[in-house]
Amino acid sequence: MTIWRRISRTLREGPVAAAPPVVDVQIMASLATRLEAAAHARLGRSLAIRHMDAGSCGGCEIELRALRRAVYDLERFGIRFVASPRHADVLLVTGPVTRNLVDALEQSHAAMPEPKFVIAVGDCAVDGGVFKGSYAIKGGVGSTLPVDLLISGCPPTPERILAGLRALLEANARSKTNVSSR
Amino acid sequence: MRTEPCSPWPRHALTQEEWAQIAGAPAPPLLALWADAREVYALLREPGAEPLFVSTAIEAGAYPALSPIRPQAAWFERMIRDLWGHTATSGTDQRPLLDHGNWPQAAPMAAAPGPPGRPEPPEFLSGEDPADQIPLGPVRGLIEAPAHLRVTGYGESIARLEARLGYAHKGTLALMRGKSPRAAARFAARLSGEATVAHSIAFARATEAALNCEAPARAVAWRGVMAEIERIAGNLDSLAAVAEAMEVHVVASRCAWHGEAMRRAANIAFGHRLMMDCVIPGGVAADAVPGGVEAVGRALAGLEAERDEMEPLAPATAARGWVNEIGESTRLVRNLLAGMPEGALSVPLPAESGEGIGFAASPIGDVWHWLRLDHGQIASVFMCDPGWTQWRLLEAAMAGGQLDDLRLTIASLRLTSSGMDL
Repeated sequence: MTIWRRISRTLREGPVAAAPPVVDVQIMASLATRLEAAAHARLGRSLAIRHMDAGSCGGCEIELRALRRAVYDLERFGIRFVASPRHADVLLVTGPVTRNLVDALEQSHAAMPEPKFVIAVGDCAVDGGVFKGSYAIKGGVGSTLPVDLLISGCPPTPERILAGLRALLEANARSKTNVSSR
Repeated sequence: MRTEPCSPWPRHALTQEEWAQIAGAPAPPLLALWADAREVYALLREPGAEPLFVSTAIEAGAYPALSPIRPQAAWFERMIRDLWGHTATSGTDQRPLLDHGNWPQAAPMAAAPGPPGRPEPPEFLSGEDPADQIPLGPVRGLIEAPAHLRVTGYGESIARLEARLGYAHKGTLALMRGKSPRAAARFAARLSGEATVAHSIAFARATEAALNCEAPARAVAWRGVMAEIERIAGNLDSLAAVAEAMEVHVVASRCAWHGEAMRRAANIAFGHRLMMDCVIPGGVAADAVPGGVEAVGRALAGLEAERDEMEPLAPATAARGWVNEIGESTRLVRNLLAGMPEGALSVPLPAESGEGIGFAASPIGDVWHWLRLDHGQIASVFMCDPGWTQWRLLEAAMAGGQLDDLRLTIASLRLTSSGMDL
């Protein structure tokens, strides 16, 4: 395709990135409360995420990859995936937490600097999902780590995940204002 | 040799001597090897021919190994030992695969599971090799399935790459036992997210074969549409991943855009972006909603108009194949939608007994399901994912390769863990 076709398409259709999703006020309020309760250092106006597949079927990962790519373009919100838990603010966990991954999950969490947040993405990560009761799973991220935000769905849509991540950022910004106005 | 009824291919119940003869010949190649509490089963097929389905009874906890002649049997034999406790006599690899010593019981699928704690985490064959060893995983990359890769080599050259799997083992087969096929279909749909439609179709076909019933023509056509949409969206994801690895960013962005368009169209038509649980044993869950077919048509038209944009990926052989597949799939979807038969969407399933095999082509490779029903409930089941082949290909492809190529090779092979970790 020629460069002219590409330029005319961009002029005609605008950028491919979708409009930002609406941030759920309730989720944001509950997160803001939690953030205020934590008196320690705040996150900045950006989030670094370490993704941890704790035995997911791969469905949630399809939607997480979509988040990083052109349409949802996560980085425009200051949110990015990082390779090392040592660089992460958020541990984003998918999957029902298989017994074979409990150690890796605990180690990833332990390697993160404070303040650190844990987000459970998908029905499996929320409570084990359809795999509840299996000998091979521990059952939900909450079985192993304190969880700050649950995003349900099998898998949750990229919009839903993005709305949850933005709620965390917004709640953080809001609680910062509250602290400084006191 | 006895012939047991199994549909569509009868099962040849062999004595262990007859099994050992099969084991001693390299042909026909092995598709899958699995077990239940009493027997071990192998599905073999000469390319282009009918599959040959054989089994043999377990004697004193053991069966003759296939791995000395068919190396691809080794991982299956390790899985069988971990889940059912049967030993492959003279098997080439006796290390555990799925059992990392963390389960409350050893051999959890056996008639009498053992006490836990048998295996150490599997040793690597590279052992104390003085070369450089790079451990990668199980948490690796940015968004990757859990697996541990042990790379041994000197500097940038890789002498050997070993994959340790089993991290994503969820006990899926055990959860399916005792359930009706309709209830168990939710697990088949969640064996591997990248191939959820394909696994659902293979499971449905195995059930229908076992119960001697057939999905209505309209359901079969919808299944075809869903399978092709899954293939197109999956291929676009993989093309985006390869484009990212090759740093051709414009192409990556267009592939991602069209992949997203396909998933949104699937969501409009079938109510789920990945079409999970849309295929059920006996048929499909629902018709596409009004406007859904048009949404799929629009997504396909947008994609066709830009297929030539993926040209920069042509140097990657796999990518060229995927682009061609997208063209074929697009035509197939169009034809299926144009000739959609009228009629019922599903048939009721009788609560009967039987044994059946089902097959489907997933975006990554073929999937095979086998199950035995006892009065409408699942007595035994196995689901074979292309992961069993893909991970072995990674080990073979990286031996003698370069560390720099690892990311592109992983992207080309579309490695997923959940499917073979069960």
